[in-house]
Amino acid sequence: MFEFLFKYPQTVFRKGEFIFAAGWPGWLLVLAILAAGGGLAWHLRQNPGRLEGRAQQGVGALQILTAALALLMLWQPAVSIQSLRSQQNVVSVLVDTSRSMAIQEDGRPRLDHVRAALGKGFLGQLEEKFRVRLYTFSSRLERVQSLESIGPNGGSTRIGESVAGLLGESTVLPLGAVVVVSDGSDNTGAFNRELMTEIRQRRVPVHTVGVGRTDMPEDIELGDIRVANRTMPHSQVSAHVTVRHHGSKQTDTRLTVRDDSSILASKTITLRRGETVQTEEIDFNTGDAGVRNLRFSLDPIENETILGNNAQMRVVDVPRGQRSILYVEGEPRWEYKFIRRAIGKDENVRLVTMLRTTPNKFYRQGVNDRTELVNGFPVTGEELFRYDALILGSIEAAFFSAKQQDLIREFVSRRGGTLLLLGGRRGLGDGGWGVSRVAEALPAQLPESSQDTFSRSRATVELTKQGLDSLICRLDEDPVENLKAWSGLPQIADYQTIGALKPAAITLINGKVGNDSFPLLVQQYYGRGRAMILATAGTWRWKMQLPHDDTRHHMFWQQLLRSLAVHSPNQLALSSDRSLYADEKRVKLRAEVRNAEFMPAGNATVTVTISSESGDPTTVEMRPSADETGVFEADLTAGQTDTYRAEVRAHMGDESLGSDVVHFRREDGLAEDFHPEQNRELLETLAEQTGGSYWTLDNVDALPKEIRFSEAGITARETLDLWDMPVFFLLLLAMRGGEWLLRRRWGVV
Amino acid sequence: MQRLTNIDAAGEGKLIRPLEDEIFEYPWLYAVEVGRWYLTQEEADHIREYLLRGGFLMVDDFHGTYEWAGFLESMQRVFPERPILEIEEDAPILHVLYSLDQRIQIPGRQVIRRGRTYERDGIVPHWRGIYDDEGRLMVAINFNMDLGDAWEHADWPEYPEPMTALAYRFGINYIVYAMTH
Repeated sequence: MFEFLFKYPQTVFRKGEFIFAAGWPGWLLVLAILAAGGGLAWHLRQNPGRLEGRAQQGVGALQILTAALALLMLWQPAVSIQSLRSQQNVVSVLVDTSRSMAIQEDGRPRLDHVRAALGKGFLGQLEEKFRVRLYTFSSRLERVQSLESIGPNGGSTRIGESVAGLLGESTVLPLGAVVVVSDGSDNTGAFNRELMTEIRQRRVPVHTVGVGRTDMPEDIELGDIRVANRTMPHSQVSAHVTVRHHGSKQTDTRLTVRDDSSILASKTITLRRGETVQTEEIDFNTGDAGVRNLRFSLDPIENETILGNNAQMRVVDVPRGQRSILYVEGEPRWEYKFIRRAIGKDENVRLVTMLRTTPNKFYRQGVNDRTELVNGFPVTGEELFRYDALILGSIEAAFFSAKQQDLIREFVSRRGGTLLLLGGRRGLGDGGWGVSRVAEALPAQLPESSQDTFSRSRATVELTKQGLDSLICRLDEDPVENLKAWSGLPQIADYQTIGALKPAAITLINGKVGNDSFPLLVQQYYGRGRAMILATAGTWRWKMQLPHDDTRHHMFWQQLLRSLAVHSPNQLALSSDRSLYADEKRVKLRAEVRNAEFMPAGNATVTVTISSESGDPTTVEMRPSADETGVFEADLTAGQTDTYRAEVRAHMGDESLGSDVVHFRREDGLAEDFHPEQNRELLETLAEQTGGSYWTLDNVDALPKEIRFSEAGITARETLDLWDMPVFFLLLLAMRGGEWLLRRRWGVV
Repeated sequence: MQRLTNIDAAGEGKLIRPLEDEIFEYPWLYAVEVGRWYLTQEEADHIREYLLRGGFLMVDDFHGTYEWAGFLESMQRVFPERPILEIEEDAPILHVLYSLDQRIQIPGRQVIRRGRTYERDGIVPHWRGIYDDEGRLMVAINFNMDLGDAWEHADWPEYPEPMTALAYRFGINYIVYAMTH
């Protein structure tokens, strides 16, 4: 319709420049219109006939508009536009042949619809005016002679890289335009802003033809999965899973976590109406040490045919070995006993305690041998930083020298350990910690020691919103049962006020006396580590006041202590940029290397060995990062589908700085199952950014006419007349006809 | 205890009956003259629950065969499945604060009158105990001795001071052990 009225496609008006072909100046046209308008108005005034009032004004307006339009046509309006010279330019047509093009639309694969639409006349029309080059693309770009023998076999879709690659190899060609025929599911994550800028700078318009439905209500998809990639054996782990669905009606499905064939956890989730993206949480236990190849999956919903996007793998490392926690207690008390009992059977946590039994004596428990801590609290970083977490009980800050207090602070900031302060008559503010050299790291502005903040009164406890979400406070996997478990706990024996919380502090548990609520378990991140306060010494009543087989006290302390230890980084920490490489061979490894004092070891020699069941081990030296001291990087290729093991070792001279191992998984053929609906937004953006247009298979026949209007390639400037547009004549007819009708209506014909 | 340790001890003790739920507020209990304590089954069950939760019981001042039988009859209803064992020389409870390598019979105040350290036929002192599944002592049994009298009569010039000193060390060790294990 637009072209019928305006003679040319919209592109002409978008890209062209308006001119007057008659050569007369525009101001003269304005003057002529004003003169004609004035003359007509005067004439009507002088010779109104039977016209008066509104009728006179209406007829006058129509006559002036007719005159103006006629004058405009006299000035010969036109559009000056660059267009491709016939048969002197190349147009490249890229057809997506990734596996998503096999998805059925109206009973036929998408690629069949493409073949039909392009073969009907589109390619023929293009070939009349241009030299057409045909390509297919999925994970790589390939030139083809025809569309007949191509099939949807590609494992991934790299639209951006394919277009950039084509433009790169076509620099010596007069490339007038590019046509991309695809469902738009670029699934490698590489089509970023930089790539778009690179494409745009070539100044070649890219026209996109969208294939497939933009909405698929019968499909659900397991999106992002966030889960710790390393944890301790027999730990409770929480995974956050994103589920995408259409949102038009509420439906249920089952989310399951499997380790090989064993089901670790399973729960029913409700896909809520009106929401298209939901995040669900699922908890499971990691079990024994080892590498866990976890499979997260959703049960299909009714009529769902694309099942490949209902499952994803993740690798979780559960390394052997113990984490060590040093607990310094200033006085024998019941809390100490029951904390030791709670963690006693945990093989993965070694609780080393120094208890000041008398003013001059310390009793050590959990030590590896008689020499450990024989000289008291560590005075060097090397000795203190061997521990992963530090707990200070009812012991005053003045017990520690200034240097030791600095070490405690650096234990958190530099070493990345976790510090926990417990309440007590010599702890927290009453112990002078608020004015100590550690105060900066703590999550609260502790009151001064003169204020006597430790109260031997009972209090109840309740979880905050953050506490509900925290694994530390997870006494039951079901949120409702968890709350019940907490509300049924006996009162704690005492509590301590901790003053104002710092801005970054997070409260997990509050204490309550009557209607007064106060923070009890608080944490904040400081430097590379974390500092926490548990402002009570009275949780032992959760053991003595409940039946002996009640596990809540034990669970809380085990989870809290594990949480203290598990996040502390080792001297040498290796990580990969992903846990799962889906249709992606490139692996980026990163190693953080520190010495015994946990200072960055920029001069270390770092090597990494990659191995898998399907290939021979490869060892490469990691290069120092240009941005961070003590960080080393390596880029590797993981070619086969398999679980890979990467082991890093570091040395500084003869001194070994340790080793670390990380596992990751490589899988092929996954990417195409995700985001099966057409990504129209990406295709429209690509077209818009490059000066092209977005089309569908239904209207692609009109593309050859528009494609010639391009500033790329070999072009000539064309002047297209507009004075003879049908819309002008129709308007003239309409205005004259309208005047006649109005006169008849008013009885003045 | 206040003078010799860092324990924040209350000034006074507390008298409690076995069936009172208040025992769960006191993870360390001292029972004396248990040779005649004749626990009911309900009391025995209550004490069992107390000990399994983490409580510690020290029993003291019972002597001779007859009183041992009386103690045992009730104790076996608390823990029918657990044996009563001699506390070994290297047991942690004997070294947790003081190293107690002197196994000397600590007598009651009758030593002043009778001139002997034993009562009835309780000639040989025994330090015995009942352990939990983790090997921790739950019940410390001082048989054929009387630590309580040694503490109580510390200020009697006639009562041997070394016995008092040793009795204090034992008692403090028992308390510190209970607070650390």
